[in-house]
Parts: sequence; C-alpha cells; structure tokens
Amino acid sequence: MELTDAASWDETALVHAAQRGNLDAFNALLLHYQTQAYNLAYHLLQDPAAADDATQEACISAYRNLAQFRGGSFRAWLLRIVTNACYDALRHAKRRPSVSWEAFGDLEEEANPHLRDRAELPEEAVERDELRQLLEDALARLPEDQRTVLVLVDRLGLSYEEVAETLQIQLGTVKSRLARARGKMRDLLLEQRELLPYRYRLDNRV
Amino acid sequence: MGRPWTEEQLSAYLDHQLPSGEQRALEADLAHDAELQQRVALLRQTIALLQTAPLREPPRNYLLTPAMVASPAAAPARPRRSPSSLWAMRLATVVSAAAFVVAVGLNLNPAPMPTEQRESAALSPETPEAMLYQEAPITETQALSRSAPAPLPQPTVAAEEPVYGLGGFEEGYLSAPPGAGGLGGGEEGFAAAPAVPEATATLDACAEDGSGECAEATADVTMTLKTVAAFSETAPITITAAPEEPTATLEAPETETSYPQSTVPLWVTGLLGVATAGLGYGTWRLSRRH
Repeated sequence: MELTDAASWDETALVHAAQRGNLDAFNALLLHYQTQAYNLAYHLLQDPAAADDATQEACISAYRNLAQFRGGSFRAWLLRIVTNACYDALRHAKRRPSVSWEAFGDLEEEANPHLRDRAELPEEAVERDELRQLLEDALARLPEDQRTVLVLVDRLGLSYEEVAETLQIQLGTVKSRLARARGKMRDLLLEQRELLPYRYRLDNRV
Repeated sequence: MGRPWTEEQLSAYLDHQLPSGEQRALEADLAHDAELQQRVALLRQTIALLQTAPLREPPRNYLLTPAMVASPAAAPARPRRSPSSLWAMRLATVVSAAAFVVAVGLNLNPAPMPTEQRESAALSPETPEAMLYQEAPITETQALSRSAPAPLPQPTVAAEEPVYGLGGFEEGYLSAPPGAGGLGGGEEGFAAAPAVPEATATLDACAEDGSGECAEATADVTMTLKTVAAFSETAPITITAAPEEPTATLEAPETETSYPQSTVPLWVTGLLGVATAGLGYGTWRLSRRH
C-alpha cells in the first residue's frame, strides 16, 4: 500500500503505526504536512534557511516525542512543535545575530526550479509570485502573535480550535488576534493597492 | 442604521463563528447598511487574497532516515553544561578577581599597624599620664633591649605598648604637648615627652619649698632635663622623678623599624592572577557555547 495515496489516507492509522516505530508511516504524515510546517516556520522566522532548519528539527523532535501525542489533531500537534522550534531559533538568533542569504536576493526559487508548477503559464506564475511576495511583506509588518494566528487560519487553513491547540491559547484570544490581524492586513493592502496585480486589488468602492 | 459591529464580530461572521442570534442580526443589518456591506466586503477580499496566494514550496523533503532518528544517547552529542554551571563559573571568576585585587592592594599598600592593636589602643580608657605611671616602666625585656645603643632615630612603636590611648603611630606624636622638654618635633622619644613637665613641676616645688631635702631630687631633675635635651643624639635614657612623686621610668622608643609585611605572599598573588585569567577565559568560552 502506498502510504501517501490520498484514497487510502488514514491519519489515525498512520499515527498509530508511527507510534509503534514505523518510520515509513511517520514519513507519510510528514509528506502530507511538510509544506504547512515549512510555511509556518518561514512566516515566523522570515528566513528560508532558518525555516528549513527549524522544520527539519521539528520533524525529528516530533518523531522522538510521538509517544506523547494523545490524539486530537495531529496537524495541530505537529505545528505546535514547529512553532516551538521557531521560537527556539528566534531566541538563538537574538543571541547570535547573523546575515541571511535572503539579504543577497531571492535565491531559493532558482535553486529549486523543479518545484514550480510546469503547467502554469509564465505570466500567471510571475503574477502569483508577485502577490505572494506582497502578502509576505505585509505579513512581516504584523506583530508576531497576530501574524502567527493569521497564517495558521488564513494561509494554512486551521480551525480556531486547532490554532488554540497549536498555540496553547484560548479560543477568544484566537478570535481577537485574528480580527486585529485581518484588519491590519486590509489596511496594508489598501495602502499598496496599486502594487497588487489588477485582479487581486481590493475594491473599496461603496 | 443597525448596531455598531466590531471587527472581531465581522471576522467571526466570515468564519461562521458568530452565535446564531448575532449572525441573523448582522445579516439583517447587512441588507440595508451600505457601509457595513463595504466593511464586510473588504474583509472578505482580504481573506480571499490570503487564501489564494500560493504557499512557499519547501526547499526539500523532510523525510527521516533511521540514522536521523537514532537515540540521542547513542549519538556523539557534545556535552552541554547546564546554565547553573555557567553562573557558578561567573561567580568563581568574580570571587577570584576580587581576591586578586585585594592581594595586589595589600602588597602595594601594607597596613602600618595591625587592626586589632589599633582597636585596643583606641578603646583604652587610660589617660596618657596614667598610662605612663602604670605601664611605661613595663617590661624587663624592653628595658634590656633599650640598653643597646640606638642605631638610627627611626619612628618605632613597641607592639605591646599602648601609647597615649589614642591609637596609631602618628596620633601618639600629635598628642605630645607642644614644646615639651625639647622632645617635640623629634620623631624619637615620644614616650618621654609628657614626663618632662612632671620633672619641671617637681623642680618648681622644691624651689618653693626651700629646704635642703629636695636638693638631691633637684639635681636629678636638672640632670634629667639636660639629658633629655640631648636625647635626639644619644642612647636610651631614664628619667627618675622625685621620691615623693610616682616613679615614671621612661625609655626611648625602640628604634627597630617594624612595618608589618603583607600577609599575602607574592606567589599567592600570582596564583590568584593566573586563576582569574583562566576562569575568565573559561567563562567566556562557556557563555559563547550557551
């Protein structure tokens, strides 16, 4: 059986198998969630290399601590470990500030050309990349706690309950942080309205 | 115009997280409130944009291998010192540095008198005169030692001899009456200075008496004053007062210089310096590792 086959996807069975020491089952779970884990790490750390390291560390830590998973949302549990790994990295970076390769240009896309969707038209790819870059810039201007909630809900699609579980905060806190973050994002996108691709511009006409 | 809706309520409404009663009320307001419609529309577009933009692709897969998930105990992990050991190192460095500074300070500026002697002298209730009568003639050892010629007129205070009850070397000098018996101003013979007025007083009393009984005492006192006048160049002297008066045997002070030496040997100071440098370097390395 192909563990990553969508038709045969059974997260609970995979988790149980991984808890019994089946590394392939755990890798199947990782394949399913690694993009979300990496994006969360990227938005928290604002640095591709640091996000890469933190994601890898979090995956290893998750496997070693799999026995502590008591059910519920495996995605929320995994993303909580990613979040903690990112906070550790941030603390470490504060003690030892360093210059990121990001400062020398956006190289990671060129390093991984195979990751692009070949079916996408070049103009569309450019447009989507512009949109993503603008959104990432706007997200970077949000306070960290609001940015984290916004990424988890609106970028990664977690429910309020999963976010509360991931960040170990109350549901009410999730709602209020999310509302403030969305309001700030709206204002930022309105400020940069002309920079957005035409079909993505916010329409503020009454 | 309906009720004022907050951003949090609008945000929850778009996620279907509002209680059903509030949701119906909001939808009713939306039907006729254009401004509210615009607020909701902008928020909805913002959320849609966030959900539309592509996620970053991870630069690689994070699949684990058996070697990567091997037990940390089996891995050649670097020994990590706990933060408490770092603080202990810092404390040891500070203590060592402080001890080194104190040792260097003691070597550079040795104390003129041991602390306990200064304290005992300062606390003595005796007046200078009383001390002279009671303690000046004191020990046989001192008397014997004074029989030797004074090698050099250097300031000396005998360790056991409380001087003037004021404590301290310099204070003893300052307490001497100005111009007393030609000894003032000299650094030596400070203990004899108060006895000179006594001898002079005895001489005056005998002169007033006019009897011949004091002749011998007068001769003694006169001799004493002459001897005292030449004190600065001579060996230790003895002043003997009249028989009726309390006897005060005054000796010239010891001429042997006895500044206390530092209690910290040089090799200990050097050892403290080396230890401080070593601990400082170790603490720096440890803090960098943490």
